[in-house]
Amino acid sequence: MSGIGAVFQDFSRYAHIIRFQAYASLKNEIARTYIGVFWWLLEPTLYALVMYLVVGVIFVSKTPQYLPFLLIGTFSFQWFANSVSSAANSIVSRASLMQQIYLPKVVFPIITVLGGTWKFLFAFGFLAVWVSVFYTPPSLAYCALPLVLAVNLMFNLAIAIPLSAWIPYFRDGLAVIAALMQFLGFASGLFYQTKDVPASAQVYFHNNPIAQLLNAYRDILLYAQWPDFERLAFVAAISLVGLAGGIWLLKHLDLELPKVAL
Amino acid sequence: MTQPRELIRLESAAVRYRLRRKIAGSRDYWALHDVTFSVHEGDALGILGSNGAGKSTLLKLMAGLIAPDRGSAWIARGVRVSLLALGVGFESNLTGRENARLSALLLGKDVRQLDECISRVEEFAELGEFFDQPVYTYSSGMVMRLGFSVALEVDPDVLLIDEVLAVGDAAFLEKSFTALQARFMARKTVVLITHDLPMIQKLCSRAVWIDHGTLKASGDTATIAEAYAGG
Repeated sequence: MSGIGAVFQDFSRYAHIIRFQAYASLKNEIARTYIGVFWWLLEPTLYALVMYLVVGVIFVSKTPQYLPFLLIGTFSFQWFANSVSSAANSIVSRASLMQQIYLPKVVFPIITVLGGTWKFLFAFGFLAVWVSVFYTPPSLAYCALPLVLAVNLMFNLAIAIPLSAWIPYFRDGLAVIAALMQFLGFASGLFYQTKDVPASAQVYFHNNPIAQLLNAYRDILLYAQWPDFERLAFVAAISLVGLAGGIWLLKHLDLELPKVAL
Repeated sequence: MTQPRELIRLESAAVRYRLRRKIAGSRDYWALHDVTFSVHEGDALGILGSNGAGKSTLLKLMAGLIAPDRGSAWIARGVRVSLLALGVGFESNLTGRENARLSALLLGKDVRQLDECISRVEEFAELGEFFDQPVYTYSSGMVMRLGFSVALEVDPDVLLIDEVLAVGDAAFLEKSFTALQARFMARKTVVLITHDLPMIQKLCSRAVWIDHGTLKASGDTATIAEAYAGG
């Protein structure tokens, strides 16, 4: 078979493996609980409700339509946080597989991120219907939603892939990532509007990809307006850099990781 | 007479594992050092060695799963080397059929041949209705049968077999052994790793002996077997 033919055949096989493994991990997860898929909806909702009780009711947030505001932010932030945290450990958790067969290591974090993406899309679908029925009806801005989702997915991969190369060398990094995710939740406008922060801090939010993604979802779903495309392009650009770096790193460590991740 | 094509060549290959990395620092463990030998097309090569001799590391090196830290490990361009591994990627909540698909893909089966391959697996594994039940309902023997049936479907240029397989009941064991033996008879390139000397004498024409990570001897099976038995 020609070189290009073999590359295409391998690529098609890896694509099937990614799809099948993501399906297998979701099926496993569903089988482990009684209410199965509904946990995907319930988990971020419960988290958002706790925050609503604390920030919205006890401290009386000034943000209008605070409950949908919080839910939209929480659903998309949890997609990022869960994908990154699980994918960071994806190479270590498949150490035994790597001792038996060869797969490009980038396949492992992609499987995990895609599994998380299905869970998010399931929950996000319910959320979008709920917001459009009770708060803001769908507008033309919904056309930008696939773009925001694609940029968000790219950003998740851009962070998850390099971290998956790091964790086999420093397992304690998982605790660091967990703490960092908590911090990022507080520091990315999950519970408050970024426009309410002091002017001196605006630069930070302007360049914070997570804050920009959360704003984009809220603009579309809640405020019926187009997202800031310039900021989305910025997030896409840094995601591409992260992705390229992460893929290079995993390629560089391809035959080293099975020795380290034991 | 033309020399058979060289498929794998190890030259002064050495592999190091870094042992745990507490604050006190890490320690290196060399599982293999200075190993040199080749595998040619049609070889039935046995690799002998006691537990912890470095056989499994050698296997991973030959399969292209890891890189040597010193020396070189070369695999001829376009040659597919794979390990006869049982139950690769099995997920307990998937059915036998789903697991067979997943495992066959992981083991390198082409997507276009998958349906045909699964039919043959179903027939060989003899699991009946269980083939469409989740694997967690299987006995360990049934899991092994399914794993072996899938592994047998993979037809690489070089097949690496780690230790003798004890698969299911006596009838299935005989069936699986016959299937493996057919590979040796068909002059396929096979590398068998074991510490079972009679098995190597029965199946292999050449052998290498690994001891404490170094190559102690290599040559025709009879000579190596004699040296190995003598200690």
